[in-house]
Amino acid sequence: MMDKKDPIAALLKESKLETSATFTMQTLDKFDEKMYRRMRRRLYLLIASVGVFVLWTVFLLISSDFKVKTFGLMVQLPKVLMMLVISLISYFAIFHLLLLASLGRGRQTNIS
Amino acid sequence: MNTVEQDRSIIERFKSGERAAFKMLVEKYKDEAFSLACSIVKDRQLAEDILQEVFIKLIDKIKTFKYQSTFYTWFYRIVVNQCYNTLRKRQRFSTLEAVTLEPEIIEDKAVTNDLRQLINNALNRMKPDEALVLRLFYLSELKIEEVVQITGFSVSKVKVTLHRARKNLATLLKQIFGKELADL
Repeated sequence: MMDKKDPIAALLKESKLETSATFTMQTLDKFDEKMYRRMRRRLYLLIASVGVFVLWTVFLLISSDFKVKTFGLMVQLPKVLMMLVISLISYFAIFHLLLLASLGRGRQTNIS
Repeated sequence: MNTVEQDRSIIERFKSGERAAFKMLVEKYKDEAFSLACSIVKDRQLAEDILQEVFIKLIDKIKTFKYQSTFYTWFYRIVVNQCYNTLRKRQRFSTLEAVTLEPEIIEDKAVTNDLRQLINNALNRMKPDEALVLRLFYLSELKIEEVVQITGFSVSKVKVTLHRARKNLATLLKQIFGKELADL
């Protein structure tokens, strides 16, 4: 390795440039903006997914036979419950996948 | 606590979205990264814009940082890539490559008698690769292997560029300082 204790090295130590005085503040403002946008996006995602789940559940309830009078209710209820459980599991599975995708898990990469 | 351990603790806090940790990273690396960016783009405003863009991209990309290298080599690599990409987009790269040493301009600037400005003027008149390698090796005090990681050049290219850059800088500085630096 080259010797760093030479005149060129000493002079180059003087070549450090400084950013403008407002640089940090501006960058932090952009950070806040980005975090705000990210939170808003997550909130929309949550609301949308809950909406889809509610719609799906309502659809299942409507498509099930609720017009049973007496004995029929005892037969139909487990079917509806099962459908609700399935839709709940589907909802969590989809939401988990969306979260995983938004976390951007993967190998170490360079921004280019 | 050394720099690597300090960085690790700051990065972990930053990964969880802590604003103070982000500020610490900005404060710690902005000036050296800015110097590196200026070596390539030769324009302070553009260098600041690029650096700001990189810091903001970092918010998303920090999760992909797995400590396979030191943070600063990873971060400087991003800055360097972004600078070259911006230059390519602006199609100014070929013009900058063609920059030649102009002693008369340097002599005019010598009137200011500001050492830092003189050195930076000299670096501004060097090729981007040469100025970048010089700053990485001498200003940031990185090892050749780290310079290789950041620039993506081969070891031999880094050594040759460093040697050539030193000679060019010495020539320029001798023109400015005269006999005072005869031993360069």
